[in-house]
Amino acid sequence: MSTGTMQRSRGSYVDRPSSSSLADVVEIILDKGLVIDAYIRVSLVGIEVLTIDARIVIASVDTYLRFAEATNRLDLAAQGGRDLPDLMSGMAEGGAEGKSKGAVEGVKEALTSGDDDDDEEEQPKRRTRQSSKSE
Amino acid sequence: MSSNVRDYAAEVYLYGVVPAQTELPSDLQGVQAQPVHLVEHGRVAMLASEVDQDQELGTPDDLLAHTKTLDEVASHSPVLPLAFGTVLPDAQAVADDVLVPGEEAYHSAIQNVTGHAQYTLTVTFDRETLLREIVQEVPEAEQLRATIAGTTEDETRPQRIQLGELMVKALEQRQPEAAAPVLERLNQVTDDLTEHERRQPDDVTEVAALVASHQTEAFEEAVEDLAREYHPRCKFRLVGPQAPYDFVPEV
Repeated sequence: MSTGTMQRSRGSYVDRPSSSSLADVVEIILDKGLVIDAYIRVSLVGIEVLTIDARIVIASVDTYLRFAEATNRLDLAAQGGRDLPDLMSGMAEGGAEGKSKGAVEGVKEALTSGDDDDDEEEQPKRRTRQSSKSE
Repeated sequence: MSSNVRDYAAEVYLYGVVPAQTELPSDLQGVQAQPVHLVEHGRVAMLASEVDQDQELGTPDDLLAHTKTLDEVASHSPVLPLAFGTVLPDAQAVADDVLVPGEEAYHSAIQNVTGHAQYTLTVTFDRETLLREIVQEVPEAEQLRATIAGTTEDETRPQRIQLGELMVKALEQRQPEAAAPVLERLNQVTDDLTEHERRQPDDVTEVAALVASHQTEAFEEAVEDLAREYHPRCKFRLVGPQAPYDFVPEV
């Protein structure tokens, strides 16, 4: 199935990961599925905090401050905004959303010796983007 | 292989229910890197692997292995995913306590997902595009932005909270209008849709879609068309095909 999903990624506006990342799995899949009553549910070790973080309350002071800061950093002179991807990604990392993703990555790296499937599969994608830009 | 499973005296980890006699990919590796087997009963079977007592169970790697096992099986055969982390005392209990009482319900639930796959589509606002749009449309936002420019968070905390709240509310106001055409279009090319709870102010929608194999092409085209149409305001991320995590019945 991963080979089928890779083919469309070029020239597409849809981000299609070739395999589910840990962040996808935690956000999309954890808590889903049939529950067999009366038996042990082993809980996820290590990233319980993340699953709570991922469900941040939209109406909270932290969220407001984060969006105020994002608004503060807008460069309105740069119309279209396409010139600022680096600034934006840096800002996202500073926010709570970025933190929770960072936490996943951190846990993942700590527990998977850093050379798991996700890393391998993300690299070719990056290369593709770079080469298509430079052409 | 499946016949050996009944000798398991050890705890078994469960992944999902499949039709009996399902052929598994030969190298299927489950949690704790254990081989995945079938425990059969009547018309249904459970995907299971032995638990190694000496290894930690429930790690992020295990969650990925759980998902990967189900997604791989789902690409060949119908499967009803179990929630992550289900462990039974031994293989006999899988048959006696789960498959025997549940056979009928599982069998009919399997019919509902046969020939279908789940896709999960996440649509988010492009934050910079939207914040820019809001600042330009709402004079109060622009004024507050001018007030906090060049100040620290301590100096203008109330104004910052006010600005943030205003921005978040403006995003919330725009969300239904952005989500509606996506849901409407997807409804035409799927058998079922489940909308997930939104997590961030710039989330437009996250939907799990149950897509029949004959709809796959039309569904993927619809997502592509939507992404093109709403670029650059919205970003589209599509995960799948997956096991039908969102479309298992309450058994």
